Amino acid sequence: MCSEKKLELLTNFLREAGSLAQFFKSRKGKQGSQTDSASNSKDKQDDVQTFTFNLETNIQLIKDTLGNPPDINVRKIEIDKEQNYTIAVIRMDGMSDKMEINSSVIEPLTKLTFEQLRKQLENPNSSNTLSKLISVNKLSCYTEVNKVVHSLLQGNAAILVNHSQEIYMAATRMLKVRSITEPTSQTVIRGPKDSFTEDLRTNTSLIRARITNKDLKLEMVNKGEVTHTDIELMYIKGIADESILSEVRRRLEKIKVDGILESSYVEEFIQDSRFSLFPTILSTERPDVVVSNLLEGRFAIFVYGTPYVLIGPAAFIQFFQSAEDYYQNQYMGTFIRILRFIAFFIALYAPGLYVAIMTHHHGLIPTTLLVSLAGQREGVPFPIIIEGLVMEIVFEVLREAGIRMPRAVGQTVSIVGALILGQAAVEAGFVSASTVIVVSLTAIANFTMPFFNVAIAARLLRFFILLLGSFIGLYGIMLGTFMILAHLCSIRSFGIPYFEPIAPFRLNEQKDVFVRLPIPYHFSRPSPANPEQKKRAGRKQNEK
Amino acid sequence: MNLIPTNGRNEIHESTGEIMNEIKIGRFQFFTLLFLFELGSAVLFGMGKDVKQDAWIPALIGTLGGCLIYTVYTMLHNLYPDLPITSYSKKILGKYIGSAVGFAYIVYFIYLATRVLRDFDEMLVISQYHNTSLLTIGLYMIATIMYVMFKGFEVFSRVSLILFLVHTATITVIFALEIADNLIIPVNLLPVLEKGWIPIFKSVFPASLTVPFGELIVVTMFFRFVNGQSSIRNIGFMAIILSGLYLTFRSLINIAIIGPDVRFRSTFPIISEVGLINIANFIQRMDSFVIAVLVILGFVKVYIFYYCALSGASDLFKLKKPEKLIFPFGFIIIIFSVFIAPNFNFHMKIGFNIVPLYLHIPFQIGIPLLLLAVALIKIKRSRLRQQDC
Repeated sequence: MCSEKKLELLTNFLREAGSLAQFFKSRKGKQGSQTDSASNSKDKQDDVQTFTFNLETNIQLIKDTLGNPPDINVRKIEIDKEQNYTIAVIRMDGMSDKMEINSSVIEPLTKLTFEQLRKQLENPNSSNTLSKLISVNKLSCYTEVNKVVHSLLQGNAAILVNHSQEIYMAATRMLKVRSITEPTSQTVIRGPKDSFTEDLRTNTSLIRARITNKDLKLEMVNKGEVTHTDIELMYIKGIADESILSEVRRRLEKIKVDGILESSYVEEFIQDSRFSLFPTILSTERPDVVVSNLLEGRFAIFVYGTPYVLIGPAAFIQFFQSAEDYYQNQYMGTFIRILRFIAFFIALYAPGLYVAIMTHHHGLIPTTLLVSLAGQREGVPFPIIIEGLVMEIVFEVLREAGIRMPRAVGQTVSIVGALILGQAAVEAGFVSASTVIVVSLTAIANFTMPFFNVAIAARLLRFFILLLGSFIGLYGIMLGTFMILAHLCSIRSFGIPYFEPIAPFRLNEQKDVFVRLPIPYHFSRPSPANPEQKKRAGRKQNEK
Repeated sequence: MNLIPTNGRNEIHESTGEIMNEIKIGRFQFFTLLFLFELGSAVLFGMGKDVKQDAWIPALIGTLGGCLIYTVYTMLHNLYPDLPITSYSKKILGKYIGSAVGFAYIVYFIYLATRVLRDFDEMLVISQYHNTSLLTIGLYMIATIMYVMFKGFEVFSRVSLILFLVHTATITVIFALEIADNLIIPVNLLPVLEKGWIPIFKSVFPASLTVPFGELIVVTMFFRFVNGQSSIRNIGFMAIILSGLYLTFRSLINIAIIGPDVRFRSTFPIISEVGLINIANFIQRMDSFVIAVLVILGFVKVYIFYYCALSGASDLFKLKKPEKLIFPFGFIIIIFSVFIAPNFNFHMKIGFNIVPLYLHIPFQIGIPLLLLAVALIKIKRSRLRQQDC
């Protein structure tokens, strides 16, 4: 028993030593330029590896390349036993449409006669019987292993014929996708209720259906060294600025990453200022938002596997424009938009101003209010900044818990949060009621943003303002504001100043900044648009 | 000089009609810069306190004088459209004297930045932060200015545009509140010209003429950045006249509300004025808000002087990376703003009695006039020579 164990240990050790030596060898090999070039040339040979004329070898080749996975499905159809004429249909289970393969590929192939097949194989110039028989919408032909495997992995069916090197790929891709549902994070009362899904083609079709115009262009790039994710760039030719588009293409081309799981990966590669708190690219799950932005001369980037579509160049002001502003009456649109700016201001400044005024500028508070505030704070053992900071952090914890918590225990957060942390803490005298009110007001205000990512900027900068307000009062808040403004004025989105219609000031774009004028008065497109196509189809043109 | 980090974004920028490598400021931005710059300390300390109820007359006359001085600057600029004053002084007066004059201007700008920073530090300490040191208050301000300085002048001019809108809105609201509270007593303005014209002219020259109007000498440092060079003169006049009218109006309201005697004794008349607002015992003590607005003015003014010193130094010493000077200059400004005077009274005494006469008049009027005269003579001579040939 003991000797057996020893032997096992020894063999293990030897194996490890061997693998270690191999590892070092391979390291050395990578360092040495000679072996490197040799391995490179070998890679190249792999790239152009072609199929043989033997069916069984070819099937084995495909299986070996994929590592003989359980989800590969091979169906052989014997046409003629003597001459060994066999056809094989290979597909990946779960990726392809079973029904279509049965009815449009396998069924016609079973009716194929030996004569027909031999005629085609012996005389390549004769009419292609296979493509006549197989009734799928796209049929392509490859001889390279890599291309066939790639196509197979996309869900297409491979049709192999014995004595032939050519592999036919039938387009039978069908994935189980989520159906189009209502938007979950950008909802409206009046307006379209559809939203993007994870499937790229569904998403582009939603836009195509809304803009039936030949100028709507779509370009594809494939990025991700490992995942090979499809990314598509959409714009309207003529309205979009060509120089911005070429810049986008250049930036998309420069992406080098293992995998792309969400459009935020692309966003972080192509945005102008990587370290800014403010988002410089809009992301939306609403097709109508994409359409309106395409019409303003912006571009959209669709990424496979996410319902969030990127839109750029984005201005700061756009993060305050909800789709609903344009669907409701213009007075309501204007009112709500101004309300949103106020809410953003509250989300950013309320705790800071509260702490600053309570610490440094008592004089600003009317006497009666001051007395009531002082009364609340009587017996609270902490300085107001500690109280404010702790409550802010507690709220952030509650919010995070609310998102991550399993649905079944969702009720607990509201009970713990509202009753224990709110009411009980005030009653116990740990925090003053006014602080709780200010923190909750801030929290509510933060949720009014139509785009979640601009609220993040307010959420984080709030702490900066809070500290400044506590240290040196309104003066500090004022200086903090200068810094934020300078930052906003300095960043750009694809070369367009981020703070654009305000600074630099553009008078003709003020129709859609703080005030939302009726749609017939939106004569011109904003500055990201092609400078030669500034005029929209508007009332003035119609009158002419 | 370029203080903007480009991050390889030059190529795209051309598409939007602006060129990234050059600083370009729009006409409206130029206007707001000048407007806020002019208000600066003049709003803080109140103009022409010594002529009591007639304080608005020096402001009005100063505006006209300001236009004249500004004309001299634009004439110089038209002769050398691509250069700041530190460069064309060399062309006009020769390498050595010109460099000395340029260097003197850099020191002058640093000194003014220091003075303005001290003015606003003192305002904050006296009115709000009694227990905070001048150094602390100044450090916050200079840190912010340095941050914006790293972002570049173009960004600053855009910020100034937003600050202009904020400032205008606040001032309008405060004026509306003053009317609503029925604080304005026009009788305070009488009698007009109680002691004749002589004290008024004494007040105009040198005090009201040099601060704020003569301080426009700084524009000679960034004239060349303005987009649309042909309209520089008109925009400048508009900014000077509007800011002059605003200062006149400010003095009128100020006198009408707090009266000439209180104004004469008050250190910061505008704060005393706004402190009187009390509507229904709810809207009261607006002075904290006015201080916040005054911080805007201080920020703009210190920034511009600081920037001009920096830009002058990089121009004079042919620096490739002017960003390197931001920290040393900021350090100098913050340290000297504390040590420049032992107390506020001494600071004010220097500011009102010595600086206008011995610094402002030579630097704002003397040297520019001299430069213009020499330049014109030189041009005439070269033309005569050409004719001779």
